[in-house]
Amino acid sequence: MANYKSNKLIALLFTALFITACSESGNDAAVSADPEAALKQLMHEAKEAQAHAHQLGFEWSNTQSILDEGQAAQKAGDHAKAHALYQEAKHQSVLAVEQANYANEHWQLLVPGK
Amino acid sequence: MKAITYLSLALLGAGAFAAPTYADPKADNEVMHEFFKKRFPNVEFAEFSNGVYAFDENAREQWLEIEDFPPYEDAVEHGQTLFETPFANGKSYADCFENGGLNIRQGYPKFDADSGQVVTLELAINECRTANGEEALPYGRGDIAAISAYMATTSAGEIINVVVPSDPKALAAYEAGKKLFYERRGQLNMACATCHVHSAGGQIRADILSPALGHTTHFPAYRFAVEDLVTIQHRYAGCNKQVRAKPFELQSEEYRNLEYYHAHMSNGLPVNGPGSRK
Repeated sequence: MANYKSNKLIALLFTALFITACSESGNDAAVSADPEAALKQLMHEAKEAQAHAHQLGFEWSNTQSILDEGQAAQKAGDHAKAHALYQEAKHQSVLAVEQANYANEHWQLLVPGK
Repeated sequence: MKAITYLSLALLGAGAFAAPTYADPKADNEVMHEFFKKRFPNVEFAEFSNGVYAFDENAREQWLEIEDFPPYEDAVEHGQTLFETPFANGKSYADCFENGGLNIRQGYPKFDADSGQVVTLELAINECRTANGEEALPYGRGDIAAISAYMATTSAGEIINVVVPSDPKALAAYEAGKKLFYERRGQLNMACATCHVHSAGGQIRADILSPALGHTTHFPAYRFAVEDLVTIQHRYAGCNKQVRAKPFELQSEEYRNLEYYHAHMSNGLPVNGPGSRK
C-alpha cells in the first residue's frame, strides 16, 4: 500500500513538473519581447513559490542557492542561464508544495501498524 | 427515503460537532516497541539505547574500544565546570532546576502548561541563563551541548520517562512532532521514519541505519563525522540536509515537538548519554 502511494506521489510530482514546464513555455514569447521584464517576472514567481514551500515547512535545501546563482547570472548579463536557474528554483518549490500537500494527507502511511 | 435523509443529517451534524481526535502516546509506544522487538528479535529491550551497537557485532567491538577513552570526556568535564560556575548574579543552573539540575535528564523534554510549549533541556538551560541576566548560548554544539551532556551523565541508568499530559495543547504538540517524524520531505522525498523505522538495520552507503527507538537516550552525542559533541536537534538538522530539505531552526517549535515525540518513544529505556556515534 505504502509503495502504491509512493508511486502515486512520484507520478503526481512528475505531472506537476510537466504542467509547470508546459506553462513556462508560454513565457518564451515574453522572453523574446522583453527579456529583462520576463526574467524579473520569473524571478518573482520563483521567490513566491519558494516562500510558499517555506511557509509549509517543506522548502528544499538548495532552492535558495539556485536562486542566488540565477541572480549572479542575471547580474553578469547571462540571461539564458538566469532564466534556466529561476525556472529550476520555481519547479523545485512547486514540487515541494505538492510534497507538503501529499504529506499532510498521507503521512500516516509510514506509521507502523497503519 | 426519509430515514436515510435523517440519518445523513445526523451524520453531518455529528461530523460538524465532533470533538478533535487526539493522539494516544501510550498506544503509540506499545506499537513502536513491538515493531522493533519483531524487527530485532535478538536484541534485549534495554540494548536499544545503544543504537546500531546493539546488533552489529563489528561496530560494537570498535565502539567498546572507543569507550575505553571516550572522545566526549573533556567536553563533559567542561560542561560540569560551566554548570557549577555561578552566574554574575551569584545564582547558578542548580537554582533553575528541580533537584539542583541533577538526575533530571530522563524527564526531558517536558510540556510546560503555562506557556503551552514543549521545553527541551537545552531550551531550559538557556531560559535559566537569560532569567539570570546571562546571554543565551548558541544551540547545537559547544557549551550548550557540554552542559547538557554533563547533566545527562548525572542521570546515567535512569529510565526515560517523558510525560505527555492529557492537556489538549500537549497532545497537539506530541501529534505535531509525530506528524513531522513521518512526513516525507526534501528533494530525496524521505521521512525520519523511512530510514530509522522501516529501514533500521539496513545499510545506507557504508553506514548502518540506527533504530529510532533509543535515539534520544544517548544525546548529546560525540559524532565522529563532525568531531564534536552535538545535541539531538543538531542531528535533526543534519538529517534534513541529507535528504535535501531546508532544516528548521534549532529549538524551533517544529524541532521541539519532534524531540517530544521522538523522546517519548524511548520511554522505558535507560539514559546512557553522552554516547559516541559515527
